[in-house]
Amino acid sequence: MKKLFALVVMSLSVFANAAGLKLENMAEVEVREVNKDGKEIITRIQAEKVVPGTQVIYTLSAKNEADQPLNNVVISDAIPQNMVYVNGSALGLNNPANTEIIFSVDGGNRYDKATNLKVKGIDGKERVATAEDYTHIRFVLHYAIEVGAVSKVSFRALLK
Amino acid sequence: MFGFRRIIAFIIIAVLVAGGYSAHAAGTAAGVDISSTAVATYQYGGSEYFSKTSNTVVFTVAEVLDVAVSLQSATEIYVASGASDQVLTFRVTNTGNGNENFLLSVDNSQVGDAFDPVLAGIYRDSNDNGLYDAGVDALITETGDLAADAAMLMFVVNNIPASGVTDEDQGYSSLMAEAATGSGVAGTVFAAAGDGGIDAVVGSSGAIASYTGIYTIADIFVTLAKSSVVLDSTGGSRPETGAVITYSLVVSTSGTGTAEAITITDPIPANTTYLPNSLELDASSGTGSAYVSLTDSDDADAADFGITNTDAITVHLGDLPGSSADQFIRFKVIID
Repeated sequence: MKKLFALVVMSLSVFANAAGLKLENMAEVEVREVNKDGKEIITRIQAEKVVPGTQVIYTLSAKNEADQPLNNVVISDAIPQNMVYVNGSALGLNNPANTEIIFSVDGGNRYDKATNLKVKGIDGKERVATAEDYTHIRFVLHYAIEVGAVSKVSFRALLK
Repeated sequence: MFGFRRIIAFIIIAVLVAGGYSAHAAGTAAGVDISSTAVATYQYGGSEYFSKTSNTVVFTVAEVLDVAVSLQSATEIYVASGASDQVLTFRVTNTGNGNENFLLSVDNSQVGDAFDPVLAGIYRDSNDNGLYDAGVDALITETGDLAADAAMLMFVVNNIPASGVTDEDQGYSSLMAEAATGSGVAGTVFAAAGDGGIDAVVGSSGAIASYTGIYTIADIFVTLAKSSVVLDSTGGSRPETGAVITYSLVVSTSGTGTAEAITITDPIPANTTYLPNSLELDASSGTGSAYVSLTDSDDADAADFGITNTDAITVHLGDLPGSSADQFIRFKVIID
């Protein structure tokens, strides 16, 4: 217990909670409507009451409110309880080429590329993890967020 | 503005339900809050790292109204015309994700069948034995609250009309279960009508389901009458040793159907002995006036003695329509 406490204190000191970056979380669902011309248009609204089987789109916006560029920005999020990550849905909206997407299958202790993650199957043998196994998702931005800029990342999760 | 919002909500959910909800029987329980908070770390200035937590977003799992009805008894039940209390066994399952009461109704006036069964009632399996017990199982019109994924066994009990039906006629009887909260097109929202006041949303079943059972008339009645005559050595009718008893069996059929593969077996009574080659059959006259002798061996004719059944006569009458002539069988035994 003592050890754990020490660890927490240390991490707080390392990740000092200073102004500079503002992280906004948004959960939305898609609405399909038919417009006057009979065309189907898809819009999004805030997720409030959701039916099982629905995909929820999480968008995380990181805004640089500091006076100089922010480097090595890493955004991490848990796949909520009762939800499953939707394969291939993670996107770095501003600079996709320089946004690395990695996952965790152990509650966020260790992150890695999807293909490197392994879990034990029902038969006790290790297998490559699938979307069902992901507990966390992480976006590693290999670019700086300039002063005043907003960088968005998003992913989808299905409500079981 | 309020009206506009409502329309939007309706449309969203319709899309979402169509997106593969059926993969889960019930899904996440209605009313559960799903929350999410993200965290970002970053470098500012030199090499110092900072951490920021996002706002927490929360949504609530809406209640899905879904139901399934299945038939537990055979799809087709054979009944006689005029039969009462004929039972079809159904199971109603709450395939939604909340607690729901389902209203029950029976439709016996369907198109495509030859007659309409007459409903006696819907009964739940009060003593959980899987069988309809008159006077024990309770008459119901709704399931009462069923938990998500829970099922209830019930009996639809019908009477079969006595007239206007003929053999092989079919009568359909359909049980329908409908969510008490409401039903309709998948995605229809009943605002605040779900568990704990959350929205209830119609699922892929439309929150209404039915299943049809079939009654098929098997209208054939077979009766068997037996009589005996004793003839003693003096020409009288005293049942003494050496007296001969002539047994007569009359098989009568009625109704519009056909009784298939009728076989008559009659054991020789104790303290008597079968009189060899005494077996006779009148299959045609209908009056017992045209007996034909049958051999005791198991051969081409329709009967034998002691072969198919030990110490008994066996007569194969075959298929007999209700309109057949009465079948007369006769054989003799001697009192030991």
